Amino acid sequence: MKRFRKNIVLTTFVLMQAFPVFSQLNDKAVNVRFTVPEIAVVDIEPALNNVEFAISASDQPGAEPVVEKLSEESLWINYSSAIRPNSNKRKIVAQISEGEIPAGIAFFIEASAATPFGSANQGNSLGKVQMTKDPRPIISGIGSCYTGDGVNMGHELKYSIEITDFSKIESAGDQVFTVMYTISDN
Amino acid sequence: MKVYKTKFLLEKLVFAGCLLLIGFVVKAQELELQVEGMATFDAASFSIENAGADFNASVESESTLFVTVDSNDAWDKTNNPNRKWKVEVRKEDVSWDDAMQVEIVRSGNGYSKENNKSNHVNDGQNYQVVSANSSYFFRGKGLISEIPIQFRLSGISIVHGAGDFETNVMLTIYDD
Repeated sequence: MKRFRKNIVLTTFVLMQAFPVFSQLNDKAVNVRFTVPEIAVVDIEPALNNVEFAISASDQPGAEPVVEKLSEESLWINYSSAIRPNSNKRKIVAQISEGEIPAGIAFFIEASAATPFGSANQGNSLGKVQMTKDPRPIISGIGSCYTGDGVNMGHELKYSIEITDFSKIESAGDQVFTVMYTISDN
Repeated sequence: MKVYKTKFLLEKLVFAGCLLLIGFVVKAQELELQVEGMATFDAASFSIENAGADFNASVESESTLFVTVDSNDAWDKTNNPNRKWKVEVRKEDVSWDDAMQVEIVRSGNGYSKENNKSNHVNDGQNYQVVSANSSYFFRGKGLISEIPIQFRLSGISIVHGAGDFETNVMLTIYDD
């Protein structure tokens, strides 16, 4: 009788072990994989926009010339960035790439804070920065993010001109210069 | 003495029954899933054309995978041609971001190898999110070949950064 009971217990054990195998027959794995490359693209909106300033004599005799911004339209800088985890954050630098800034005049760019439209990890404005032919950062701390594409998205760019040395200003007609923006690793 | 012999015989019978049952269980495991193809995605889906933009919110796999429910057991094929089964799905992440989701859909019916018209597949025709917990995908009857399935990635964003993202989607067939 004891042996019989032992066999019953053994049989039950074997069947209990077998039962889960019985219900789950077979499985197969499908590998799902994709790669996001490093991305760094920057653009100015609206495209091909010119900002114009005029420097004219003051109405008041002996007073400093007046700097006037003729363009009404605002400029916006948009960017998308994907960096690897633990990589350095990126920055946007600006520089005068073509033309010359007339003597006696300083040209500045100030990026506003990013609009809330885009994602987290957008960069921070570095305030009002004087432009030269050497690249100077205007926005830093850019992580993996996007600003949105178009005007009123990203950072507004405010251009300004200041007269630094009146004695060097000459009546030289139109002066054209180009600003180039580059997004780069810090 | 006779009582002892009867008991001994009974024990033998129980053992024989057990062996038969185990044999049946082993035979019942012959139903299996086969998967052909790979889940691939167009690399262009992970590039940005316009600065400031994000990826499209969802990306479908550019290729179709085919699932076949088969049996390599001749006895099972002959004597159990209308066996019911169901497929469940889950995923095991290798490198993944919790904000991204893999979805799966059955995009066709496949066909019966045996030309058995009572064999069929049901459900699974709407995209469903694959999670770490096994969930029902679709069910069917009999041996069905080349049931097409597709994957879709959703919640992908440039915010997750550059890198390789990988998960294994496990399809498991059960008796139904």
